[in-house]
Amino acid sequence: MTVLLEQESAAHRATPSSIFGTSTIFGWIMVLPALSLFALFILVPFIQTLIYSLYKFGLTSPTKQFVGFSHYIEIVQDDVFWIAFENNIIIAITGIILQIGVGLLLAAILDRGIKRGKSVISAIIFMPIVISTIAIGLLWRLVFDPNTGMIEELFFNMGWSTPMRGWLGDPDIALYAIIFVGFWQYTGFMMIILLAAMQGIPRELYEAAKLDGAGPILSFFNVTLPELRNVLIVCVLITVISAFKVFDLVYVLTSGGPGNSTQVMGSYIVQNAFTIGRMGYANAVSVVLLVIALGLGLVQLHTSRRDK
Amino acid sequence: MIRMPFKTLRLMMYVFIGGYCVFILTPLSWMVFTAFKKRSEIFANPSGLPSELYFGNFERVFSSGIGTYFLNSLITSVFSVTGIVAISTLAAYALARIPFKGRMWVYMLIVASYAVPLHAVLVPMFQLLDGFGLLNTLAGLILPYIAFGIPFTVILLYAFFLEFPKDLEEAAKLDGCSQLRTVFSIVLPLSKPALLSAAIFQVVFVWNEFLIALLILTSKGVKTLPLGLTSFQGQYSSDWGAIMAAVLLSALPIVALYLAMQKHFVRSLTGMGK
Amino acid sequence: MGEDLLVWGDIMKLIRLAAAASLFAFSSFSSANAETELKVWNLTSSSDAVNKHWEEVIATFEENNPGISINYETFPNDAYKTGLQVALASNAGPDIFFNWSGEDAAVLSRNGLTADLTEIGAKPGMWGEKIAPGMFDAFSVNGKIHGVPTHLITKYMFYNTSFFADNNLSVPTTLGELKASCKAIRDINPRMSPISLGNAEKWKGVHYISTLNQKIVGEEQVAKDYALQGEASELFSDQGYVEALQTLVDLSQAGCFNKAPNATTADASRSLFAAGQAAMIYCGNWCPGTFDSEGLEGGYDLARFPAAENGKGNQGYNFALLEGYQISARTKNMDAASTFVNFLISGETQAKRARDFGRLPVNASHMGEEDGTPIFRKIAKDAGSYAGLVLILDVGLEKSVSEHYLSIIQEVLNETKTPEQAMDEIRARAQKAKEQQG
Repeated sequence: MTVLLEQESAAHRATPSSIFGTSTIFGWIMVLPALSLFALFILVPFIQTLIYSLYKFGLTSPTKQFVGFSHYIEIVQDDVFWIAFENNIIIAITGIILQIGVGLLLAAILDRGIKRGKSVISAIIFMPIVISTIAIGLLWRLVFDPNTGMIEELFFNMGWSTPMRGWLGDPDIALYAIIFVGFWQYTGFMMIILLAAMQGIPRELYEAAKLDGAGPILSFFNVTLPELRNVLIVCVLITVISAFKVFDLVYVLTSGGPGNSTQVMGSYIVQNAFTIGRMGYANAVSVVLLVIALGLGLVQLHTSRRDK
Repeated sequence: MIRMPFKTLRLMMYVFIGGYCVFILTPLSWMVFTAFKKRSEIFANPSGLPSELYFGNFERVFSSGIGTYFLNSLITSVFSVTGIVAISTLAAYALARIPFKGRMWVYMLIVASYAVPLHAVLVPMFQLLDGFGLLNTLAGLILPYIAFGIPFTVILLYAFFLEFPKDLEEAAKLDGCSQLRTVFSIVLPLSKPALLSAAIFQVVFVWNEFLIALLILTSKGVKTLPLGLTSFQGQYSSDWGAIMAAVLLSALPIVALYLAMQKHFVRSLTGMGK
Repeated sequence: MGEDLLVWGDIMKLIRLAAAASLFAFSSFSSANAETELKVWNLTSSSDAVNKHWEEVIATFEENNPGISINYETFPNDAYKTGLQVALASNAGPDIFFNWSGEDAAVLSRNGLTADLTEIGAKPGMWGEKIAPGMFDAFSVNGKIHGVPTHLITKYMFYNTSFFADNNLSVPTTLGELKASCKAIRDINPRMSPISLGNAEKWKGVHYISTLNQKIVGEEQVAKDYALQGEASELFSDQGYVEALQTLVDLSQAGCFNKAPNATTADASRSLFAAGQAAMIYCGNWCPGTFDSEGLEGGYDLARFPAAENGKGNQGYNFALLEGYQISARTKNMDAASTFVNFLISGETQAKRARDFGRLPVNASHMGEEDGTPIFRKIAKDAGSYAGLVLILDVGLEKSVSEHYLSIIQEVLNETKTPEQAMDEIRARAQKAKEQQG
């Protein structure tokens, strides 16, 4: 088996094709359980959402009024939607840089960099993921509290000044405070995925690189990164889609405030559907969100299938 | 490329990862302190150690019936996660390794499903479960959890299976294995790290899921842990000490599970003979 | 209008039929019972006193009414509206449920989800005899009563008695005096916040503005604008609305508030006051419990919100809101449900409520002179002298406008928008909302 491993190259592994030949029936049988379940609970309900985005109604309205595409026209002219959209993009980009970037670094260090305390360290980094959002909300509001918070205290002791409107109360800062909390909570998530992927890289490739005289940094760039290509692309996809779906963290930290400065598409959907009672409009925003995510999925498929 | 002595590099790695752990642990330790503080101290002295170890928060948590919530969460998690991983593995393997017609459409559907915001399908989903008579049953929770867990897990496992060495499958075929047997005896055992990490994410998701549970489970006897937490959130003020105590208690089993799983991460590595 | 998507309705019907035919295993929960079961939904409380109260009330009711059992279920505040709407929209809702009076209740009533209680309530021995007729207005739609109030919540300016006494400060009675005392307090101790304000969740600010709007603009104009009545172009055009927002900015600039109110939670602001780090707080009649448990034990008193010197409103109004219960239009047990609601309104239950957790009763027939804490008695006595109830902005106003108002108060307080800009936006929103209604 070792011999076989040595023979293979990264290039032809990236192409999905089966040595067992094409088997459409077998393939469909394998995906059928998954398809039927999420079709029932996600796709069929979402088709209803899609249709109802053309209607004007409240959640408890007895009747629905057909309004055509007017919700979609309204979205284009809606300032708050564009604020939310921009915030989602900022969260996605910073998420890629911070969560995947640092997650990759941490995974590489744990995989091949250090020898001692690996399992304790990775358990520590994993911990924040387990904390439920309502506790995250309280904890970080305490940390950011402008009067008694830990950061306030730290900055005061250092002689530094803190923003007058508070970390979560300043429209120019609040979004980044949320991103910071997201970084604290979810970087471990990326680290675990990447670590699992790194452990699947054949050690022989590193040994070969070493024989060629490559140091640890060089072999990270020449061996690890290329081998992680498909997993990294998936990490980007997951991060970006999650960034567009984000709701809980924003809700518990700022409720979209101050003003609408930290509104995201997720919180805007919830506000319209359940607070304002504009279900049709909320549905239209959901459809837009889905279309954006679908576009990203296409990009992913395109990039991960291409051979080097 | 800069060359530096490996010792210096390793030292820098330890410093970096040590610093990162401090960054993670500091807020967590404040959380632990809060669980041992009286209400009057939580806001007045948020960052300091508790002036006295106060166990009242934990007592209130235990007297709130957390045992039942815990059991319900455990049942829900076991069934949901098993279902998610089993179903997703089959689908992801097929999508990544079997070039069947319509494959890309299925994958796009799955990506699309991952992007559907839960809030957008909440009402129709609730009506569906009501129609099935599944309100106030754990089955009514497990089914949507599996459905919502599948897209993420398929996407993740798909990426891992794409990387899977084709030669191993070839070797299995030469040994006379059928395709299904190859999946179970070669692919799955060697994909343990990927399967385990997919499973642990779903455990975390199911263990903490709040909104679906809130709508589906309204009777006290069937509620799960995240709903148990809400009994400390009042209309005008919340019992933050008890919330933190309850969150700690509910997080511990998952962290323990993760620690236990790590051995398997390592074992599967050596098992691959790499 | 009125066109529904038949396909989906049919699919749901099919599923229901299939479920009824094949899924007996799952329906054990709803098996028929000789006993009438009422599902009652309420907000979750973190207070032991409140939870114990409900246990006792339900036990007494079930004892007095054999054959009726109460299935009491609670939701946390944030999720209550969502949970209730989803359940009611899907026909899986409760028989009886808590609700705030105003727009929250009215939307459900207009959509036909709440029962018309006008006739039942007028029968002998029912709630119509027990509470003042005016109280039902808060739950009425098109002249029909759709809910029964059980208690009143109200807000006051609480102040730290020892701090005021030690520094010879007098309690401000006008907005001018309030501004002056803010400066005085800052002079005494710059670290002391004159008023504790936590507007991170956006509702504390809206309570200030609701009160200020009534005092400055006047209750009649406010009522018209909140109901979006009158010419669309005239809505919210009273200069008083700008003045009300400006008053909040003035107070902020006079150093009245703690640092960064928009980043401070309501919880944290109560704790600041309870810890003696703030001299005053505008807080509800539910707040004293928090103050006591966090160390201020009785070291506070209360006063009405300061009057606006040149305001057009009746300065005798006070911030207050009726809360109560509605009965689902789809309940199969109307008689039992109304018996339970009537029981909540009985003099005994109402007095017990007041004693157990200081709710202001709507029926005080069984209240004794000595019932409740001193501060509760003071509020109860003062409530009798309200000239009227301040309309609360996010309770009375159409939701798309009030949500924008909530946000814009934060921006005005942050001084990222001027009061004029803010009201221009509110006017535009209100006009749009009116067009969509019309």
